[in-house]
Amino acid sequence: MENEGPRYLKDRKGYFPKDQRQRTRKRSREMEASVSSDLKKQRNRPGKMAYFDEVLKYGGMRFEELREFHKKGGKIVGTLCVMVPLELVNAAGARSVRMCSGYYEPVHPANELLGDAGLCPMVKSTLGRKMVSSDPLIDLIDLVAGPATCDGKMKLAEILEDWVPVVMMNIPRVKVGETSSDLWVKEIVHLKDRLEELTGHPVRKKALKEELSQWNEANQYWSEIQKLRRSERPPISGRDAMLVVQASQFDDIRRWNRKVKELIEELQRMRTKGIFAGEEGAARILLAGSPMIYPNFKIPSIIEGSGGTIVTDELCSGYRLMSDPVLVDGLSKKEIYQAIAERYFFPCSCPCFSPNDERVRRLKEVIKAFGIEGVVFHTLRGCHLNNLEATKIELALREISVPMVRIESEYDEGDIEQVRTRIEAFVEMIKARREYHRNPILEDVQ
Amino acid sequence: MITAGVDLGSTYVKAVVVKDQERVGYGVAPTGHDHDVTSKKVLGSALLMAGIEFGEVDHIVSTGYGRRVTTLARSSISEISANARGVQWLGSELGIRTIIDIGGQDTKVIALDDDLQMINFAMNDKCAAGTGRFLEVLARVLEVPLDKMGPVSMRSRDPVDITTTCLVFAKSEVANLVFDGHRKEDIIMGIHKAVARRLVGMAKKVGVRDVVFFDGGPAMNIGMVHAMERELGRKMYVPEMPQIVTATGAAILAAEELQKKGK
Ligand code: SF4
Ligand code: SF4
Repeated sequence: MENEGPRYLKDRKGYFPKDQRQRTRKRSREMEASVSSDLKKQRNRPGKMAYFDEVLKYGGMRFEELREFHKKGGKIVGTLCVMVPLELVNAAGARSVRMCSGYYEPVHPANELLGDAGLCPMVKSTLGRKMVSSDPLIDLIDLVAGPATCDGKMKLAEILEDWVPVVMMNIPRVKVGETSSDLWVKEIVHLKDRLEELTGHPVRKKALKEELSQWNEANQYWSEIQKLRRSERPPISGRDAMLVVQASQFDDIRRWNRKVKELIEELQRMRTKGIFAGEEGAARILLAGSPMIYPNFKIPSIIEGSGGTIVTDELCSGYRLMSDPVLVDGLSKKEIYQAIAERYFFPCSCPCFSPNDERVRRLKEVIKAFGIEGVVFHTLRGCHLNNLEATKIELALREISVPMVRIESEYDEGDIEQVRTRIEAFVEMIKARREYHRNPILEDVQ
Repeated sequence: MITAGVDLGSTYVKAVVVKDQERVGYGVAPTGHDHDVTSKKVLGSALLMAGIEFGEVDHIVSTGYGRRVTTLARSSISEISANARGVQWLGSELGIRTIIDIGGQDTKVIALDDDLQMINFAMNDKCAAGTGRFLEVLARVLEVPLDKMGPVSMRSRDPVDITTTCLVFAKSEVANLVFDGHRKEDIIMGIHKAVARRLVGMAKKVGVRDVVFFDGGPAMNIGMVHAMERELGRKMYVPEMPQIVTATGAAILAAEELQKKGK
C-alpha cells in the first residue's frame, strides 16, 4: 500500500526547533567524547584499539568517508537489528550502518512527540536521532531495513517512514522449523529487490559470495578474540571487545578484518607476557540482556570499574554480531539465500522469539566454557521481552549455582550510583564465595 | 586492634567502633545536608562512648549510600556486603539464612548459604514503596511521631487496606481515610501491611529460608515486625539494635582488611 504522507508528525515545520537540534548535537558529541576518553584510560589498553575508537567516533573518519561516498551518489542503508544481513546490503553496492542509537540526548525529542509510550530508550533515541538529525551520519541514510521483532522495533520502523523510506521485514516470531524459515527467505529476497531498486545495481552471485567470504572471515577473527577472552587473564576488556565488534557495523569489512588481525597479534603478544586487562583478582562476569549500543557503555563501565571483568556477553550488540558463519551448501542463488536466512534466523536468541530455549542452553554452555562466576542481566526500561526472560534465566542459573543480578536502566546518568551499589555488592559476593567454593575451572585454551 | 565502620544512609548516619571483635561504641544521627560533617560527628560520639581517641583507630571502612563522599574512610564497601558481614559477626548459632533490611530509601533482601555467605540479593528500584521513607512520610500525614507508629498500630482491630504502593498516591489515600473517619491505628496497621506485602514479595523472589533476620531502622517498629511476620507466615529474628548491623559489618571488614594486609 502506498504511504499517504506523514502519519505521526503532520506538520513538521518548526516542531523541533533548530536550537533543539544544536543542543542535541552538542550533547551527543560531548557524551561520545567523554565515554571515549574513559575507554582510553583503561589499564593495559592495546595500542591497536585506537583505530576502532576512530570508526565509532561522532563525526569521525568513517563518517567523512561515508559522506564522500554518498556525495558521489553511493547509497547508505541503515539497519535496525542484528538480523539484517549486511552481506546483502554490501553486495548490492550500498554501505550499511547500524542505526540503533546509544546516545542519551535524542530520547527527549522522541518523548515530546510520543510521550513515554513505554518504549525502551534505544528505540526512542534512534527515533529522536532522526527527528532532529542529532548527528550528521543519520541524514546520509537512504533506506532503512527494519525487522519487525519486538513491538518497539516494529513501530519504530513504521514511524521512521515519516522521515525516510523503510523496508519492514516480517520476521517469523514463532520459531518452528521450515514454515518459519521459508517466510524469512522470502523476506530476504524482498530486501534484495529493494536494495537493487535503490542502487540500480543487481546483486550478482559472485559479489555476494565475495561478501560472504569476507564476513565469514570476520567471524573467524572474532572467534580468535573470544578464545583470548576465555583465558585466565584476558588481555582485552569487555568494553573494548564490544567496541571492536560494533565497529564492524559501520566499517568497510575488508579493512576491519585487517585491523582486527593486527589487534589479535598485539593481544597474543600481550597474553604471552601475562598482561591482563582487568584488575587483579577481578570477578569474571558475563553480560546479558538488552543490547548496549556505543556510547551507552554505562553498565559495562560500572562493572569494569567495580572489580569485575566482562569475559564475554550474550548480547545482540556483542557476540551475536559476529557469531556463526553463513554456511552455503549449494551453488545456486536460491541455496545462498537459504543459507543467509538460516544464519540470521535460527541461531538468533533474541527474546522476541518463542520458543527461545536455545538462549538458556547456549548461555549455560558459555558460562562453562568461559569460567563465568556471575551474570549481570541488564534490561533497558521498557524492554519487556528481556525483562520477562530474565525471570526464566535466573531460575535456570540458580540450578547450576551461578549467581545473577538484574539491573534495569534508562538512558541517563541518574541511576549510576544505584547501579553501582548493586554491582559492587555482586562483585564482593563473588569474591567472598571464592573462599568457600572452588573457582570455576578453566580448561586450557590453545 | 581498633577499627570503625561508618554507614552513611540516606536518612541516618551510623557508626560503630570495634575493638578485638567486640562492639565497644556506636552512634546514630540524622544525615542532614552534609554527609561528611555528620559522619565525623557520629563517629566522634561512638568513640566517646568507647572511651577511645580518634588517633587510636587503626582503620575505618565506610558503607551505605554516601560511602564515597566521606573523607573519613580509606576504603568502602557496599551496604549489602556489610550487612551480611554484620550478620556473620552475630554468629552462626542463630542459623540465619535470609536478611531483610529496610532502609530509608533502599530495601534489600539477602540470601545466605549454610556458610553464611551471600548467594543472592535484591534491592528495590528507585521507588519509595517498601522503604522507611514510605513510613516516614505517611507518619507525617497522620501527625503521629515515627516512633509511636508501632505501638499505636498494635491497638488496631480492623486494619484498612492500602491499595496503592506509590507514595504520592498513598499520601492522598491516607488523607482520605482520615477524612472518612477511620481510626488512626487501623490506618497505620494498613500502612505497615502495605510495606510488608511489598517486602515479602521481593523476598520471595530471592528465596526465603529460616531463620529470617530483620534489620534497619524500621525494624524497631513493633507494628512493622508484626505485619512482616504475618505476611511471611513465620517468625523473624530482630536484633537488639537493628540500625547498626551494617555499620558493625563495616567495622569488622575493616579489621579483616588490616589483617590481610599484615599477612
Ligand atoms: S534485541 Fe532482538 S530485535 Fe532488538 S536488535 Fe537485538 S536481535 Fe534485534
Ligand atoms: S531493547 Fe528490547 S524493547 Fe528495545 S528494541 Fe530491543 S528488544 Fe525491543
